[in-house]
Amino acid sequence: MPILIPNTWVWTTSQVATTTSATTTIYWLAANSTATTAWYTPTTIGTNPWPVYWFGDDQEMQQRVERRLETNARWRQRQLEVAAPAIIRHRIDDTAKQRARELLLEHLTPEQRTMFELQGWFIVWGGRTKTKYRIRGNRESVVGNVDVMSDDRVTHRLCGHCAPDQVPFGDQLLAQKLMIELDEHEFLRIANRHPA
Amino acid sequence: MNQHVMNVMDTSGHMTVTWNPTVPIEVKHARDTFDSMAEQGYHAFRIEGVDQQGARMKEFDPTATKIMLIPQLRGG
Repeated sequence: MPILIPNTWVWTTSQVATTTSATTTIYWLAANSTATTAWYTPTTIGTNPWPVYWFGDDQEMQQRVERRLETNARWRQRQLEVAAPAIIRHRIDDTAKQRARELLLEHLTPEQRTMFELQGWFIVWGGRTKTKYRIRGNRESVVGNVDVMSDDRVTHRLCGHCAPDQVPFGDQLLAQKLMIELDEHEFLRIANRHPA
Repeated sequence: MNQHVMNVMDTSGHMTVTWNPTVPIEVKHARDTFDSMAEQGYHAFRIEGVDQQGARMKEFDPTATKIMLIPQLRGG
């Protein structure tokens, strides 16, 4: 159902952005009114279904609004591509690394925890194939850090991880563990294979 | 107390959302968070029991006692 906006009303927008979302609110104001109304508040960047606007016979007004909406969409995209990643890189600090490590340890079995604390790696078993994997966390790098094992021999390595500036290192290891144990097929589809 | 927990990995280590399945507004908040992160490509896992068994989730389930949301992985 189209939204009917009287041609005598004027409008403006307000934009608020965080590292993960951006909100644009359109305010409509009647010519003889002092109150604004939050007419529509879209939600997260990239998931914004703009509503249909209908302005009766005022084609010029409709075109102006459409141009403004396009500008807003470009602004939201820029927040994602430029501003947010810069802030994210800055925000992974020692506290975040410690919290991620604690979350990882909380989700390891006692045996895995002992392996990790003593040797810097732990063993997981593929949820579907029961293949033995060794997740190495002793070099603070997730590049090719998943060894595929046959008995105690490394047959090849896998490289599959979250974006490095998106989560701290401990979270990377936990994400790999969860994927291998609970969605091994998807992990194998995503990860790149490298020789041992 | 009947608090269920959802951990969402992020730059701070993780964000935690809790809800009581008998309180609709808390369930709605948790569901909205889940749906929002899923739209951004996050993988969701239900984790149960002391042995940390679990399963991949496609939709929010308020009866899950612990949910982990991880960002999309990519090959390197």
